[in-house]
Amino acid sequence: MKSRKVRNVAVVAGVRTPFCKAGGAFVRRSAVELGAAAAREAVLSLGIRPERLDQVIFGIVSAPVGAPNIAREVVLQAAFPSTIPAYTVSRACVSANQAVTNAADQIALGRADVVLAGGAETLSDVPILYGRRFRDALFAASKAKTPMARLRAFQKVRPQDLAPVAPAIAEPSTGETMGESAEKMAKDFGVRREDQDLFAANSHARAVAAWEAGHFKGRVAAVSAPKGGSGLQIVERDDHPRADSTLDKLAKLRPVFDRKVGSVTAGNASPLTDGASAVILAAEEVARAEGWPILGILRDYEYAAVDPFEHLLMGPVAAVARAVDRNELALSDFGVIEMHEAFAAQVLANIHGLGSDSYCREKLGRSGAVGEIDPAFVNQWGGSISLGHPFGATGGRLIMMLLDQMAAKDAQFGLVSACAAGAMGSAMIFERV
Amino acid sequence: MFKLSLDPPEVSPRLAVITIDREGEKVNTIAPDLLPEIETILDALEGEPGIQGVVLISGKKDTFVAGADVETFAKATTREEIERFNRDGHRILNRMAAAKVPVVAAIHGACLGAGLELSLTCTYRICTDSPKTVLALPEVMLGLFPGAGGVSRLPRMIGLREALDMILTGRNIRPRKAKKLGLVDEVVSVEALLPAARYAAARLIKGDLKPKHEPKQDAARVMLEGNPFGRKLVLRQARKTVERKTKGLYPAPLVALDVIGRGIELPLAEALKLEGPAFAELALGETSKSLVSLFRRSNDLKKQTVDDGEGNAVEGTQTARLGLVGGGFMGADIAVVAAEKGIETRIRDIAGEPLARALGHVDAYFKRRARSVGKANVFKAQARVSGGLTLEGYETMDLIIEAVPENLELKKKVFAELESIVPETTVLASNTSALPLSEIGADLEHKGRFVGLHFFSPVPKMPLLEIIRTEHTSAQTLAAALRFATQIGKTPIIVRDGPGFYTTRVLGFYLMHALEMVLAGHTVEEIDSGARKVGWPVGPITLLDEVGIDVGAKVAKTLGKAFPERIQVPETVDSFIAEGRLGRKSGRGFYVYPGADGKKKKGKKEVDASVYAFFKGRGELGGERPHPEELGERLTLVCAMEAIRCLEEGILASPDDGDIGAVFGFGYPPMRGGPFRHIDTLGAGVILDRVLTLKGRYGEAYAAPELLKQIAKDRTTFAAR
Repeated sequence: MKSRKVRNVAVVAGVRTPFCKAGGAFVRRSAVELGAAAAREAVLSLGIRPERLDQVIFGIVSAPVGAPNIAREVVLQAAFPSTIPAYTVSRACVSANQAVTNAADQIALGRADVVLAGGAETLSDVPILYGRRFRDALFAASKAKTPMARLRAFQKVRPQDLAPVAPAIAEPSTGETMGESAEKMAKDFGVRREDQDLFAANSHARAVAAWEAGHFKGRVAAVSAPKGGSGLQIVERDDHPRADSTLDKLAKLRPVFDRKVGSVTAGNASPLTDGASAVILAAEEVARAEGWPILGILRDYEYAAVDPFEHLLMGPVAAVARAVDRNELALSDFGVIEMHEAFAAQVLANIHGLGSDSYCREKLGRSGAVGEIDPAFVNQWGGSISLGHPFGATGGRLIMMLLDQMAAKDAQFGLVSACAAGAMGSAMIFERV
Repeated sequence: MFKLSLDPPEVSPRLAVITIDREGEKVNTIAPDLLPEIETILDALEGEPGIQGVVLISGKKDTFVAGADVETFAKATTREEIERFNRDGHRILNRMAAAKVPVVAAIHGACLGAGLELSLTCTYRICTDSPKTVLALPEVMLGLFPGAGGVSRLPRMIGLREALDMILTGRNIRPRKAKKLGLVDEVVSVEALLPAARYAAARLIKGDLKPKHEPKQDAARVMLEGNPFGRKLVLRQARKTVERKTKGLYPAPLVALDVIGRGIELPLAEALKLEGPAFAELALGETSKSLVSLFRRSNDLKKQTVDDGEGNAVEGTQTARLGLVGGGFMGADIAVVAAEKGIETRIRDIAGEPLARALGHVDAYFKRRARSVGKANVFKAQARVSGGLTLEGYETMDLIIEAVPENLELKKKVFAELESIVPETTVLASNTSALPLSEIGADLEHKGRFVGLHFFSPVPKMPLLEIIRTEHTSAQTLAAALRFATQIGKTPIIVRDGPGFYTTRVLGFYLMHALEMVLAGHTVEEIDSGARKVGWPVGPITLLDEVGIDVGAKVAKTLGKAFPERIQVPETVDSFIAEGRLGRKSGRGFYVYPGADGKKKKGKKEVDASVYAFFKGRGELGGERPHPEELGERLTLVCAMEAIRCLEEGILASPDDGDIGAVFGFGYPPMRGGPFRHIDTLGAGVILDRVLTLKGRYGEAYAAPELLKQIAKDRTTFAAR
């Protein structure tokens, strides 16, 4: 039997849809449609026929009730050959990262040559549930054999049972929402309101500047969406970055999660967003043979988890620490660092954790800190606070923005980190060759 | 053609399955020499006493029976031949109808004409819910009527009004509608067809299932169709509609009405006997012969190939991916047609708004399609269309069609950009309707890959694709263009590059000569109605308004430069355009359109009397006013002369291309079979005399081409030349 060696995995293309505020331009587009748009545009941007794809993997958090395996629906909706198998992964806000690393493993192990991995999310159309009692009644009614029995099933239902249950972003285990946890982290690690607002203001300024400078050219595809009334519109740009986001304005916003002494506001947190992203990965040898651009090699990745009852969003510190240690790299080796911005408080707390001897000793069992990062060094083209954060899709955006900045700066190594619900974190290391 | 398979004797109920599968053909059609074969099968069945029921099904993938073999009528020259064929057909169908055991028709795919008439003799009909399944009686489109029992059996089965609609329009009936009409008894999925047919047969045998043989009797039905007076009223209404629509130019619907009207008052057996003689009369008539000839020649053109110069046909590359540049309605229309035929299609427009309109047009189209064939059946086609603002990925396209506004410099720029990104194998096409192709492609490095693909609007409905070759276009490129035409189900004609190619050139003469008539003092109504009275579907002035006066004038000026002695654009047209009078799109042209003044929203367009102020004739013609028909005849002749010149100059390769292009492309009166057949029928000498007279009176537009003189002199025809 032929033996196979582990292969290098290259990112060769990536495109995302514009990211739009939930309830905005994409309010009538499904996650499948957005995902298909990103996937199709990624394939076109590489200039290949979709027949070339061996697999499609997609990440999503709030999967549509009717299409839980959205990856497969994306294949069909994008009119890719129906013979491309596809599956869906879910790991909260690092779902697209998971899709990408799964793809990379398949390629590295020789089970696929070319894989499209991406993510999609629409928070304009989340499934709304009925309460338990009404659901039980519906279930019983569906089993009933006679009309009378069907009626009887609803006997115990009271009017209040008909009220829908709003989907929560609270942790099932702790009951704590992310915002509350960010608030707790800000207090525990001494992250000040002014620093959070400054970080957020920078995020907006950088995103606006990046758009103006044309850094997203070829990476953000125009996508059609039904407009109010009838007809379609073409959406070309992210709708959240604000040129007028000043420190003054941000300072005036009231804290949301702790109204008295809190510091996390709508202005320094990422917004609910609709959008999708797609990244094409290929074995380096295949990419070279085809003459595809090798934007970067995925050298290593790491997922880590911490105790959600302590700090929900400190996972990235653990993930980054393990990834750099295993590769014998220092944070200073990275020419570009992209960190997902769930909250400014979370980014700053993560940076604090990485640079803190005591945190790293206590929580990670290291001898000391992982390293210092200047908050101004990360996310130089904007981040989730300004560009928006479609949960399942952000990973694809982070990777492509990292690689494009690495190319712009001629950096050798780049690092992506992201936090995820369930107190998890992700780290990915890319190298340009 | 027919395969008979009998259940083993121990099976109960024991059924016979007749599979219709014409050898060596892609679809089933019924030809006279196949009739004895059917009789043999029926004899064999009657000799099998154990058989309790029959299922009739097709062995072809997507047709049940597509009708009678058109070649039959084309070849038949005597009344005897046609009547014999008709009589034989009736005898067999009557035997089927009189079968002692239940016969179930299991229909999937096209069930047209004689195929549907065959199914009408069955006890029970089941069809599939596939979008491929279409039931219709399209005989009237060939100048005939369903004379194998259709006109007699259909009204009795689905009701007079419904039957008249089907027979007089030839309209396609989809499965859902067929069930509602009672045309079929049951609709099932494709996979379930045979089992469902067997099950139905078993239930019919047991008596569990009673076949329904007449329409539901509601109040309207009883009042309108339940008595001779009501029936007369219905028929009179139908006749009025037909007369309005056909202007008495097409005899078939009127003959059908007559046969139905007389037959409905008689017992079925008597009614059936009326069909044969009337059918033969039509089949021998010039109208039907012309329409059948168009149908056959169009089928032949669909099969044409390109020669590599050494006598071998070149195999054209298939278009799997199509790139469109320019998202106007034309681009969007081409996209939906291609996508429906399985081609991945991308629309590029440089700005968001036109792109949104193009994609919105695509969306709206598929929404409408979904209503008739179901959502699942349009899903794939709709998914195949996408749009973008860049040319990214165009290097993966097999064919790229430019459909940007008609501006030479813009088009040249598009092709320069395309050539810089696509591989040499990509076929590049322009959808220009009038700009000289050789100039558009003048700067291309690889000129062999460049071709013109002139579509007609609305693309989903118009059957023609005019393929324009320059002197450089390679055989490989032409073969790919032909293959593409086949893929999207259009009839191709290949013409040479020249001012206005073929269709636009002749159309330009039609439009501009009509303006000269206005200048000479004829009214707009006279000219338009005159054209319609001789069979043009749309009058020239109305058509000019539809096309857009600015667009029409631009094309005509190009033609005027090329043929200054025969075509001029009246100067007044420029003052028209300057006034913003552009035709329907601006609400005002020669006609005023409802809603133009913001008041009247509904109603018909009316001639804007103020147009005459632009023309010295002012709609007033002294002395004798010719009949509108004469104006129509003159317009037709001007077109015919120009068509002959196209043949003479080598723009056209054959009279067939010219006839098909004229009828399908710009509406040359279809019952004439195209300009060349028209002249061949009337005689070149007669036409030559006529145009000589007209030239003396009205000028060079009527000048006879040398070729016409030659053919008249040789006493031959274009077809025989």
